[in-house]
Amino acid sequence: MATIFRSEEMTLSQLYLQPDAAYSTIAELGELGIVQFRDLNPNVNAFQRKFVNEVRRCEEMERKLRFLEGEIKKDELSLTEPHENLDAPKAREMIDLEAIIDKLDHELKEINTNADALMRNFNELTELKYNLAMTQAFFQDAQQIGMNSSENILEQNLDSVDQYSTTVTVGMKLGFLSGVIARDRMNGFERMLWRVCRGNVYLKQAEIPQLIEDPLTGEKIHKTVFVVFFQGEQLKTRVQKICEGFRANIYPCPENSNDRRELAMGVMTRLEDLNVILRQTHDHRQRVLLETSKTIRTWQIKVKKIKAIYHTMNMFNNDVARKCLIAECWTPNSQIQTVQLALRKGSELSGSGSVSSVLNRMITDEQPPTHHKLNKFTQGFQNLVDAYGVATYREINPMPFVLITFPFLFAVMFGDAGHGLVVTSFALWMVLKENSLKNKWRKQEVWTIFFGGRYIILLMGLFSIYTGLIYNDVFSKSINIFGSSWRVKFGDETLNKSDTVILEPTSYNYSRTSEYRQMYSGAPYPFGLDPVWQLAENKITFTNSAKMKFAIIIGIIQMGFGVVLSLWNHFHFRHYHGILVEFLPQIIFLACIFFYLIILIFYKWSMYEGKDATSAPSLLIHLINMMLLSYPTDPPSSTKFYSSQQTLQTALLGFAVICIPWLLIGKPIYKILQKRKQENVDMSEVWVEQGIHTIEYFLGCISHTASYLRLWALSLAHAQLSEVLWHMVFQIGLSMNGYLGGIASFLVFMPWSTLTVFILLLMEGLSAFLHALRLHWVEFQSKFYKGEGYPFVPFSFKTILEETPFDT
Amino acid sequence: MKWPICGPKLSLCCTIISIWGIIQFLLMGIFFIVQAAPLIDDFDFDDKNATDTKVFEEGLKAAFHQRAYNCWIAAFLYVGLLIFTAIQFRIHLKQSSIPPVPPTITSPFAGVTTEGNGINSQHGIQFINDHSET
Repeated sequence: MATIFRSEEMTLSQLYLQPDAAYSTIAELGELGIVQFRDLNPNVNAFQRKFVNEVRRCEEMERKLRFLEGEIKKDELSLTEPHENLDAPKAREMIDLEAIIDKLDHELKEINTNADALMRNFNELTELKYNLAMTQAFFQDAQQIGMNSSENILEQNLDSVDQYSTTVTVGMKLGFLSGVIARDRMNGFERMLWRVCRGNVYLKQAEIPQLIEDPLTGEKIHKTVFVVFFQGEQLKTRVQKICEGFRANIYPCPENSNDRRELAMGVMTRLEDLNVILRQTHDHRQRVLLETSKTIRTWQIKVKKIKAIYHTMNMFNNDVARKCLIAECWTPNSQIQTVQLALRKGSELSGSGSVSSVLNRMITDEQPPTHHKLNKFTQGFQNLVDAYGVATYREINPMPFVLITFPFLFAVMFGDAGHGLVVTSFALWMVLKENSLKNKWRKQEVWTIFFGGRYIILLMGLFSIYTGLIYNDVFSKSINIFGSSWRVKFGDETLNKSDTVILEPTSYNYSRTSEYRQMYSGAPYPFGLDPVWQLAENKITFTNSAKMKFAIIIGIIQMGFGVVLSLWNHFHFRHYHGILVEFLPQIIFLACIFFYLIILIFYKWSMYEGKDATSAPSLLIHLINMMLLSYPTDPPSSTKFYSSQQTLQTALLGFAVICIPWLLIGKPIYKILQKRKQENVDMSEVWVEQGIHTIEYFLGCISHTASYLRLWALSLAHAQLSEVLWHMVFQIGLSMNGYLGGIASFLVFMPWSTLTVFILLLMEGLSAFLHALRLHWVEFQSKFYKGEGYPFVPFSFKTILEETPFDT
Repeated sequence: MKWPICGPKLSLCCTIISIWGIIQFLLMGIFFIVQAAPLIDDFDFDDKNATDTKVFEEGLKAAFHQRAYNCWIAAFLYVGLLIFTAIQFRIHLKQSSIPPVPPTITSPFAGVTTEGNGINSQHGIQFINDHSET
């Protein structure tokens, strides 16, 4: 029944599996997720294992599936997520799966290469089309200009007729090259042509209005058509080389305009054909991908499961003589029946019939893994504990205690009912909408942290409301629910005289007349701090004193509780000597000094009234005097609490001092006595270890008690910060006279609420969280918790699939 | 109002602040109208230094009531903001909830693949021819 306080009992067992049945059995166990397999071939490298081929085939399938997924995502198709849990496929299904995936992969690659080639062809043809169109325009212009100019020349200079005819004849011999080049290379190209050919070329260019895809990068770029005119073969080769160098595509262009027109026509028809084919290819690709997108997740899960199974089987021993696989695994004792059922079911499924797999319990000295039975509520708190260290096997688990003390200590530092209410409503939303929120924003780390700790946050919020009411702080304002116990009964003349007046809890002669007034009703405010303190100038002085004492009381009780828990560990592990040499000196020391301090605090609270306030003894001075063994009678703050105080305190101190050597030498002496029975104990190590342990404990008691004062310090900081925020921001709206104040309040509320959330809830909350965590890890758990275990990691498909979620 | 003015996150944020503001200002209005003492620190009023108790009390009461009305005005303004942002938020919610319409497919999977293969290989050959020509 002690399952919640300790980890589960574990057994190491051997499984003898028929080779035929092994696969289906492991699949069954993977679905259950209750066994942790041990690697029986740690020295065998990954490539020499038995099922390395199968694992490799799975990886190949995964690679192909990733490629398919990438293609689907490229086309922005949505993937169908499987809703129900898919069983691991049977061993023989793997071949079918492989065939399907391979076929699809092959097909898609073919489609892609075809589409690429078609696209390239299409681009080339498009370029050619523009090239032809542009060159056509050049030649037409050239002819017109030629005619115009010839007329002009004829008119202007008749002598040069011969010259003109020579140019025409020369022009006829002009060669030309036409092509297409990227627009940004055009300038360099032009300059290069000019320099290399020494100005003996003539370049015409025109921009293509359409963007053309670059086959290498897939980007759409601007391109330019050019025609280069030159004379002679030598220049032609030069120009060709330059074109090559600038990656210009040269297209043949017939010199005859009729040929050009014909070619253009041919290009047009081929472009149209290509367009049709391209569309068909695209449609086909879409259909293939759409079909794939429906089943790809299912395949991915199946492949992952197959891979996990073979990976697990690689850890088994192969007994050749007896023809079986031997596995070793850790199982919680409570689940052994289930494992046996799974073994039977596995062999039935594989059809190997009569010969069933066998489970054989082993006895071992090894420390078993730590496994706690958890639910979604306790999981978060266990994570807090495990972050410090996983519990040693069967050690007391602090989680059930942390469950309550953690939110409580947090709330002591975060005491504000208004802030608590906001935190609680946020946590409640997460808890109530849990199912719909579970799969949202899984990639956002901050969100997953908040969501994972939703129950912790809920408890922290609820406890903050409680402590906030105790401190009587709601957004730094007090609320007067039960009616204050204080009444102001001054006369007008007293009130008119001064800005502040002092309320005394006792009857006091305020007006220096014979008139005595009772300002305090005598019955304290029923719950928490009296709201009258909100208006008091010495509010902080008062709350500091109270909160400090709270912090010390809470801290010492928690530390004492930790020491008491160690008693249960001693009982459980049968370290009965530990009770005598460790637990007793520890608890006696703590009781003699610190429990006694708590008693003194309560004594002072209950025995001293308002009228003795000035002469009441000081707790701090008394604690110091107790250590110094001095009992002076002068100032009233060091007068005795009670009559036989000196005797009692000296005795307590004596007991406490005795505890130090007791703890220091107790355990080594026990070891020396043990040594007579067994030889191999290194005594110097025992002495050193115990020395450190002793110093750590006694110094720890003092420093940890002081450390709990952070409860007071952070609570003070939080209260002051929220008060400052109210004064600096919210008050702007409230202090305005007239109806303008309403609008100002409306405007001012936005920054106030935002700052409240970010500074007071998030920042202060984080710091209070960390301090509460520290108090648990260091101050509380150091008293009993070793945390030297290792976690139970069962072979489970569920965790494998959750660890590597698909990106969506 | 069909068009979104503020984005989904801003409208959600403002909605939450509005709800918070409405609750808080309504309650604070009540506290001011009953003249809750802890709130007296938050404002000054004209007759604060009046020596006559009657005048003082009247001034105090008027100041308290003024604060109460101001709080309720702020609450009312937040109701307006809430209506506006809630509508905005709903528009965004509707926009994001419309699922993309998947294109219909008619042919069964296996049929498509074989047929497609044939067509593609043909084009492949055609393409090579084209290329050699050009």
